Amino acid sequence: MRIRLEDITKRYRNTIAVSNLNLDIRSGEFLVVLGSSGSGKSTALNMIAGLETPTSGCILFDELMVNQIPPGKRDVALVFQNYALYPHMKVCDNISFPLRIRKEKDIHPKVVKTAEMLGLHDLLQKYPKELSGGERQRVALARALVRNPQVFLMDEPLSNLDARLRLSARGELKKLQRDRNITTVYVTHDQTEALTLGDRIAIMDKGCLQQIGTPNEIYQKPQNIFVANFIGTPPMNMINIEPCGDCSFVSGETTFEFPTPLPVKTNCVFGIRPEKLTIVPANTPSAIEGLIEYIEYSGHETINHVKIAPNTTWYVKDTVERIKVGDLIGLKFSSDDIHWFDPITQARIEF
Amino acid sequence: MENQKNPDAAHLKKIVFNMKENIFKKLVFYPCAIFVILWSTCPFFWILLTSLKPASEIMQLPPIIPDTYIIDAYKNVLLRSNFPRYLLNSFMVSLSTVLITIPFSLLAAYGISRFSFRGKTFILFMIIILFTLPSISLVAALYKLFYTLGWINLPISLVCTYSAHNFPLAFFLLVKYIDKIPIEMDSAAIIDGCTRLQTLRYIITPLSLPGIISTSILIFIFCWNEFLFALTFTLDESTRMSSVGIALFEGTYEIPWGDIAAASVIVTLPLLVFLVFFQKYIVQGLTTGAVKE
Repeated sequence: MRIRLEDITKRYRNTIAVSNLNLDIRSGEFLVVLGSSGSGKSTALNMIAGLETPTSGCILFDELMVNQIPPGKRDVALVFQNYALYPHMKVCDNISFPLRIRKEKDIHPKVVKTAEMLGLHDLLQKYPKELSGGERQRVALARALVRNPQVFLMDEPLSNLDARLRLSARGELKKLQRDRNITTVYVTHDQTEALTLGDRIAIMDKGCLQQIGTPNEIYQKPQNIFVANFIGTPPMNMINIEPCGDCSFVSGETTFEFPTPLPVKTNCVFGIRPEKLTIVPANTPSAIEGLIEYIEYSGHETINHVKIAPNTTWYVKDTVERIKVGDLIGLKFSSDDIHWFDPITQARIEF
Repeated sequence: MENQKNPDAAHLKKIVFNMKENIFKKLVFYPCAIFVILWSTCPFFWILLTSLKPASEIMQLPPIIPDTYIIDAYKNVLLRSNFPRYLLNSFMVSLSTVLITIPFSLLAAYGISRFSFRGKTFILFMIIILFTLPSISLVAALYKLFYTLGWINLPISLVCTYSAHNFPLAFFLLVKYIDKIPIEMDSAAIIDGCTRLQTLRYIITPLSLPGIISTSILIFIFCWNEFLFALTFTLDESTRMSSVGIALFEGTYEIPWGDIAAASVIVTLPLLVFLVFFQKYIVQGLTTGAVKE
């Protein structure tokens, strides 16, 4: 089922939770809505589910406008962050509840089939409080899947799991969605989840859509400063610059050299990802000089905090043997890896 | 091992603190608790003894512990008076009140807990005002009302009064209880295809059952004990409530203290049984919302 949100706005008294949101979710697509808390991502999800009604705009399921259709009749399933299992019902009753409410036939075989698919058949007679976090999460998935919904909505379903479990649950979730080919909208604040799970990612901030695109597009071509800053750990290094001469620019009091002629002529925001910087010996021509302030070692990678100007510290993801805190080093980069943004409109500048 | 031989300072401090706490418990807490318990249960034991004494010993002062116990008073109350009838009246009125109050207050509590709407604060305010109205201020007006309706000496007058009178208490207890149930429960039920009323029936009611039980018991006890309205509206022998029945026990030449004592004990028994069976729920109901969970 294709889902379209057209000019959706949701207003609560004085605050605007979602403003002029346009989304076109393709049939069978896994769309991740990413944003920090208060970005309006959960509100958007609740409007698709029907738990909230938009103040203005339409929501279309295929060609049908569903604004006035109650959630139970929209054929959507929602998995909640805290799972929202019914504590007074056994696992089997939790899973069969949506079928019983709809007075469907042949409930038992459907419950057993879904439970087996998710490895829950031994737990059917238990109560939710007797289950572990991962098991509860699978029961919540089973309750959502048992009635074969057209749309699958998830509100941070993995954030209550521990890190190891989250990794395996992520894989299972993606496989499940691909096998069933259900249109899925997945809300999260975790960018790793977003990048690994999503066919496309929609990034929201303060109720507005910032960018929508494949994980690769989002990472390689962030459309504005917010997205560039939001995606990537550690975040993109950014400084405000003022060109001076052909191959150098000024930021604050410090002058930097640029390896090729500068493509910009006016004040700009200059951004580079930490893994695109390489550490070279100090005094290398056209390298930026900096002082190692702190080295963060985490096994598979090393993040160096390098002070390049009095008030500017860059993250550099590069492993070099035999450097230590206090060393003076040079940072080299290729001019192709630079992201340019307009300091006023915050938008990306393409050449 | 070494740790046990040389407990460190913090550990020692803890031991000293525990000892202090023990001494405090032994010397202050327990005597006080025992005093309070005796203070409040003494009258009841006195009544219990009185009900078992021969008539000649009842008025003796200081009261004596009798040598022989007799159950004549109980026989009088249960077999030779209208008291069993009064008990049945009390039971029926209390039960009807509970059965009417609970569904209404549950619906109201669910609505107030889950929806925000214009005038919500005003409604809450009005319910609080209802809560604070003293019974005595209503008696005359209600008497006039029931007299006009022809309900005097009919149990319905009491059921109506008690239901209205207990509604605020039941409502507030249930609101507190339902507020504790996460809103996602409702959302999940609605996504699963429930209407609002189905959500209330299949999800909210079972989840607030402890609250409903404790509220029911509190209402039942209130009705069982109520005296003022019962005395005013139902004086007739056939509809008299047990609380009024005790007060109006008739003797030929003197006040039958033995019978009154026996009736008092009998009236208390159902409440004691309730307490034993539902103790957990009653305590829960009284302390709901008292602490953050």
